[in-house]
Amino acid sequence: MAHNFVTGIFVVTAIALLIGVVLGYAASWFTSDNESLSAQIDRLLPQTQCAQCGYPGCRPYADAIANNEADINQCPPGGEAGVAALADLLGRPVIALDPDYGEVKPPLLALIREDECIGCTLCIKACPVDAIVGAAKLMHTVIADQCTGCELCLPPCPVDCIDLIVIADTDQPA
Amino acid sequence: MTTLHTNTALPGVSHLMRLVLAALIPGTAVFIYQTGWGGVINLLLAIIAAVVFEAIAVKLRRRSVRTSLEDYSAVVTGWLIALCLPPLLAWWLPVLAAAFAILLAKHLFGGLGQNIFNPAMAGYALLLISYPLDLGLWLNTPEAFNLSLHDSIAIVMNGGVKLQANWDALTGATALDQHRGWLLKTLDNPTPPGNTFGTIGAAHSEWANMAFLVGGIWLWHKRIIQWQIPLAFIVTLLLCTTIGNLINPLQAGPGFHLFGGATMLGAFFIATDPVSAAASNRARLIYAAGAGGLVYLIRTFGAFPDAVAFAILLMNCVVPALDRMDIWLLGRNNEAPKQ
Amino acid sequence: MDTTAHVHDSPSRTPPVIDWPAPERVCIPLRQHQGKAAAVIVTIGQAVNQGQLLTHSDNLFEVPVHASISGIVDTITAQQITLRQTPNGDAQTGSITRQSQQPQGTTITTLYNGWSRSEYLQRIHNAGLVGLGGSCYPVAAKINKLGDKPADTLLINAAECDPSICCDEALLNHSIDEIAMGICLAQHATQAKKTIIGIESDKSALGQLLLTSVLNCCAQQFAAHTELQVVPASYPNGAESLLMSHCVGRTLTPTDIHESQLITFNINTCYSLSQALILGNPCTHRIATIIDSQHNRFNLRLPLGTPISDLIAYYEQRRDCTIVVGGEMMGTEVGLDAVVTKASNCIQLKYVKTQPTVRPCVRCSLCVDACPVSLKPQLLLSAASTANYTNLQTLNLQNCIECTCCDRACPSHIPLAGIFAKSKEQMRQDTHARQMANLAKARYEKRQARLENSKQREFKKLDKKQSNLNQPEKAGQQAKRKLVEEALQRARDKKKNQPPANNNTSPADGQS
Repeated sequence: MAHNFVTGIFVVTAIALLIGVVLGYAASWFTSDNESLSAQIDRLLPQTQCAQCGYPGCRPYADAIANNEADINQCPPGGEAGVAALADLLGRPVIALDPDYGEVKPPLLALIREDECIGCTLCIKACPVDAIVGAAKLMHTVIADQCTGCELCLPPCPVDCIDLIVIADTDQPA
Repeated sequence: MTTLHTNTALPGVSHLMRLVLAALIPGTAVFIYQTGWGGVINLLLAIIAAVVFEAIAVKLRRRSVRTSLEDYSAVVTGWLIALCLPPLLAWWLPVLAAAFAILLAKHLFGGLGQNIFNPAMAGYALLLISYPLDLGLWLNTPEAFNLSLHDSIAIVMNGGVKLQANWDALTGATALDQHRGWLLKTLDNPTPPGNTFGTIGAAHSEWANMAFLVGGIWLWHKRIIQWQIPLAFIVTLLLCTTIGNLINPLQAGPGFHLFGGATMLGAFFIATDPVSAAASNRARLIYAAGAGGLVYLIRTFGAFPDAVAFAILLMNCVVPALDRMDIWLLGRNNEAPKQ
Repeated sequence: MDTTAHVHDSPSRTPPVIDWPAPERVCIPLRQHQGKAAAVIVTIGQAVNQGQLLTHSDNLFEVPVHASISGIVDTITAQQITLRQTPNGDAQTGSITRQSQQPQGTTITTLYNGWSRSEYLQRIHNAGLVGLGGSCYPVAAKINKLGDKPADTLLINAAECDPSICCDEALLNHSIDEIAMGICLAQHATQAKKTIIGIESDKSALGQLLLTSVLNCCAQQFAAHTELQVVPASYPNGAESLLMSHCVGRTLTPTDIHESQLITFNINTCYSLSQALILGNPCTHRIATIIDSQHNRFNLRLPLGTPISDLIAYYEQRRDCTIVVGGEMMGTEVGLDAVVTKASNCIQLKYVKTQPTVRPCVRCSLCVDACPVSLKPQLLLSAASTANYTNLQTLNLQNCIECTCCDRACPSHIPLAGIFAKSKEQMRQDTHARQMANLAKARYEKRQARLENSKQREFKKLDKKQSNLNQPEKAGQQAKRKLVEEALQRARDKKKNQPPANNNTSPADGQS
């Protein structure tokens, strides 16, 4: 009896070890190594570069998630769908967005009231995606197609001449 | 005169299920003829239990009870369970199978359309694993079928036929049991299992199989099922058993396998359950061929007498992978440069 | 399988085209096409004539609309302009504005030889022409898509798009020569290398007549390459991609057609083309099949903007009917305030029928057998329900022509085509969002690189200054410095050696 007992333990342990080794190798063999984890995370982020997450841009936030420094619920522009996509990629449970980092808003577009602009170039420096053009002492304008609606140009404007408007649904019929 | 690309008649799910039930009638008639009142009691018990549990489950899920009973899927499930069970079982065995099928295999997965496993086979497999002795008891002498309704009910209500009881004379291992036992040389019976029509199995299962084949072909003719699943299932089983028989003549031949056990019922009525089968025709061929091969393997080398249920349940597990494979192949075809 | 749709009667019973009288009020939507609305150029209270431009734009995707009746502009909103007939003002309202007055006696040959493609585009655009088969794709934009090159194949779609509609057939009966002239103009505008008239088998005689008529009036270089193709009369063979596939003999998806030099015009569009370019009548009316609640059919030539309630008032006793615009298969329900637009090829009036209960998908794959473009609707449905855009792409959702054949086949009565239409739109938005995100990312990365770069440069400058201070001095400088220091030293020495009394002399000297 005792002999059988020992054999059983031995066999089961051996099988467990074997499976462990195989699984360990499989995990490293079958991960897509053509792209680092933070690049994969970055691909799922909305690229508004709004810094609402507390990091200076989407890529830094992605790096922070990859290094377990930040949670996945700090990106309001990505919305619930964004959190779900990140959770799926990282194999984590889906959690609610953290309201500390702002709330979900419809897609926005910055618009400069051009007759009020004094040409201070502060907003140009603030725009993370170079979507504002203009020169010193001359009127500035936002390139509508390139604006991500990140709101970063609002605080530096000394005359508060920038509005955020909700992008109307494109009226192209399907 | 523009014609529609498709049939303009709108057959609903309930219509499809009614046709399936109609196609089951010939096989069921033979089944009742062979099992007597015991079979009728099984049918009634399983169907009523399935419908009642369906109603309870739907009620608990706060859906429309009427809508979900109208689709007849619970009736089909109960009916299929009963067709797999031997007669004169204790009354609570068919009820247990139906409860497991409807509550666990169907509604815990999200109800009709969401279940991974064929509910009827899941219920039957539960009994097969938990009560193998009771499910092995197919009465094998004609006298047994002549029991009166009153006697049958009495037996069913009092715990069913038991091996230990005086019924020993009336009971015996199934033909498939004999076959396997014979292969394992544990039975004294020296004759190999019957391989020609009229000698297959103790319960003469070739007649029931023929009747299910007829019903199945009618169902195919009505375009309720596609040919892929039954054909792949039967052809694979035929190939495996022929090769097996040629290599080792002690193994049963194709005639025995095709017309023994629940082969035709499985091929035409159980494997073709669209919900738990693969979604595309290509994947269905693989799915059914896999099931056919597994039937041969389990019947010949496995520990359980009936293989169809396990074969189909095992292939049900593979279905999500087959569906994914299908999409993957499609993606690869799309990538291929167009001529 | 080949069950005849009983909604479709024999060709001889196709009702003729009847002119609908100009209504009291019309409400003209500014956007009756795929694209944005053009700018309004009329003001409230202004008197307009039938055919007068109400909006204008130079963008080919912003198709202008015209007054469909003569009257005065009543209201203007962002979506629509309403016009009303002036009371007892017959003399004033009778005239019709023609866009381009052609001198009498112009033959079609002299006409189309004179115009370049850009002239065609301009005229077609200003006449407000859109695809009248139901797509409402701007015709000028469609031709412009060809670039400067000729079209490989010009397909004339004479196949009814829906089994319940018969307006194409009625039009063929009504004005085959006008259609033929429109085809000739289309040939010239597109410089088509090959012209195919696609028609269903039940109307092949009419097709033959149309071909003869086209050959009579079209130019030599096109006549040799004009042919008739008869396709089986089965839904949805009137769909552009399927008809084109039939006619060119290979399977084409909507994307294939969009990316190639193939172009399709409905015969309704051809008719309007000849009306607009030869007679100068812009697109103010359209021919539509009206189906009343008793399944009687009428073909009407309706002024655009006619309220559908007018039709109900005329054809129905009860006012509570449901209006479906589009055919039996692809129609969509609209509200009671709907009006006739360039898209209304069929208007059905019905009383509400109980909808069958929608049950879950049982994966029976009857929809796969039904799909005319070989998609797998049951797999598409599961991908659509989880918004799995990768799988939707792989399963070729973009090839779905929304013909609703799968809806009809589905035993669970799932509105598949509607779900797919929504998914397509979502997929389009998702792709767009992804592209925008990628662009934003690229710009962000470039900006980061630039900032990094300028920081580096700043550092370098700073470094340079620093190192300049620390650098060993040059030999010449050293020598100079040495001289200066020596001189200073000498001076100090002198001061030391001199007696202190001498020190006080200098102020005294200064005073003296």
